[in-house]
Amino acid sequence: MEHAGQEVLLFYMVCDESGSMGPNGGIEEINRSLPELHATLASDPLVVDKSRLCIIAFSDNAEVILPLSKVTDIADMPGVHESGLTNYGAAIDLLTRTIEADVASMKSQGYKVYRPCVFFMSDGEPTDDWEGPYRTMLSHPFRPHILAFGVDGADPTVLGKIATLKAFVGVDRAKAGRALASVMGSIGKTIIASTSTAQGGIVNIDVPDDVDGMMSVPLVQLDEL
Amino acid sequence: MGLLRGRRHHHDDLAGKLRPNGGQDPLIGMPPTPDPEPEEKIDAASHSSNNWTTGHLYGEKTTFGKAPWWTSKGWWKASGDHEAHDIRAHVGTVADLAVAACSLRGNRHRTTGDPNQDSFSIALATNEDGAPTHIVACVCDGMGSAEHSAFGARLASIAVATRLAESVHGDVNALFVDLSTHQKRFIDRITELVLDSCGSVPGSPPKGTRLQDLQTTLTFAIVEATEPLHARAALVGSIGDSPLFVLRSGELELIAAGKDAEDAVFSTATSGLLGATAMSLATVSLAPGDGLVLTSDGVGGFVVHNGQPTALGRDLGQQWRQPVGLLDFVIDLSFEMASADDDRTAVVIWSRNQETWPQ
Repeated sequence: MEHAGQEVLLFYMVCDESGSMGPNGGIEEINRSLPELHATLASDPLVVDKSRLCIIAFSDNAEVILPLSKVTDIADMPGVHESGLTNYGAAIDLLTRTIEADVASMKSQGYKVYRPCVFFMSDGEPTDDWEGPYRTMLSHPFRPHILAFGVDGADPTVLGKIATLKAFVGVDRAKAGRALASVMGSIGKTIIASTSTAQGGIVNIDVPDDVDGMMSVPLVQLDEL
Repeated sequence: MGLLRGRRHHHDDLAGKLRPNGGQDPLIGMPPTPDPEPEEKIDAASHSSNNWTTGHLYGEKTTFGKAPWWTSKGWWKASGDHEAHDIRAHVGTVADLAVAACSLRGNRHRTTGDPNQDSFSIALATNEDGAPTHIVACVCDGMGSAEHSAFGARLASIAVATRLAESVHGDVNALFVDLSTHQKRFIDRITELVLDSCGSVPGSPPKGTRLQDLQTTLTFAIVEATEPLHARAALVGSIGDSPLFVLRSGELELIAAGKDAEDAVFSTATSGLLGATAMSLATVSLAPGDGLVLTSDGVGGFVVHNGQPTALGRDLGQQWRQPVGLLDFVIDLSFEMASADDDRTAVVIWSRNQETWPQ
């Protein structure tokens, strides 16, 4: 196996692209920020050598818009476009299947795979049954760490249930786009800091204490529903 | 929440574009594509250029292997530490033993301008006539989360090697029993020495530095340096995750510490020397021609995977079948492998094989 013994960190961005993300500026901000995020990550040699990035977009359905990739192999970041509902369940189900396939593939190539880290971003309440897929994901051996970010109409309690590390919601519904810009900046910092500290099987996901325009919300155990 | 279904992306196509010659992993229907820069093995002889920063390549080329260290990108930063130790190396013989030791600053610390946080120490025990009886080798890997771990590792390795060299007399089995019985006292003494050095040694952190800010792993070996006809005994010990191997017939056999992810995902905890209450101890028999290899996990963590040697492990085993030249040893440790960005240290002690070694 060519990569036997090499370590790799997997990062997944799950982006809401439901119809409401257009009017509130979320779509525009994500599409503006993704190339910046790419440039930031590609300029860090440790991130380039040791991490992989995948992006999933969801509305009615979910789709992998960037397969798990080394950042320097990405010539052009994908974009998102407003479309339909906010089906968390579809996103989480695809995320679970994608992580399962990615981790299995990386392990089969000989990589030592750290537990994946997910950045979940949404502007609305879920419009489908998401708890079943979520429980399935958390019971999987490859279950990821999750950071959740909500803007506009996102429900803090729901995001607190989805996150396993930390959840944030925007403090001003009218400034969803600006809040998402802060979120994207925090994602870049988290990826860089986490990659630089990952060593010998131990990784501390560098969770931001504060995100500009966002406030932290308490995590909620799904079992307490 | 949205109600409209619109066009998929703001770009012309439907997904992010990968570079045409990129090394995309074969995932989810994506066929593997060739790396833009083909794999190569760098011959030691090619290192006459001052461009040299990496050794043999395993897998894809890394950022650090693609450009000289003085690139304007500034990802190879000078350290303000008094002893950054980009390279520290030592070789020598004692009776029928040969020892090579080397420590290299890893890519992670190159990017941050921090010093090498690994350290090694070699000490000799002598008899009443001053003749060497044992060689003591010690490898310490300062913990990344500890602010002054470079200093902690350096002081701890010296303190442990010195103390063990003073303690071993005759058969290492006697020291094994003694250390097993009094290991906490031994560790407490080392911890005390390291803490007391703060503020009193040039370049040290201030007096009162907390133990956790100096924390380090420990792996050591004590090998009889007499000239036995058959096997000789070695005492090995460890606290934490710095792996130790026996080198036999060109193969590395893991005998202590290390980690090898067999769980669903890769995760282990590392314990430290300072303040510990116990250590792992064992005795090993070395036949003529065998070697003992002490490493930090920046090396040892990449030579075995799922119980099998990696390509690097196989190469190092073969390369170190018998002692190698000083620069060759440095180059061996300068292997290029993505994600192997930690500091790297290895100490190899070879037991002479009378039949194959030059007289």
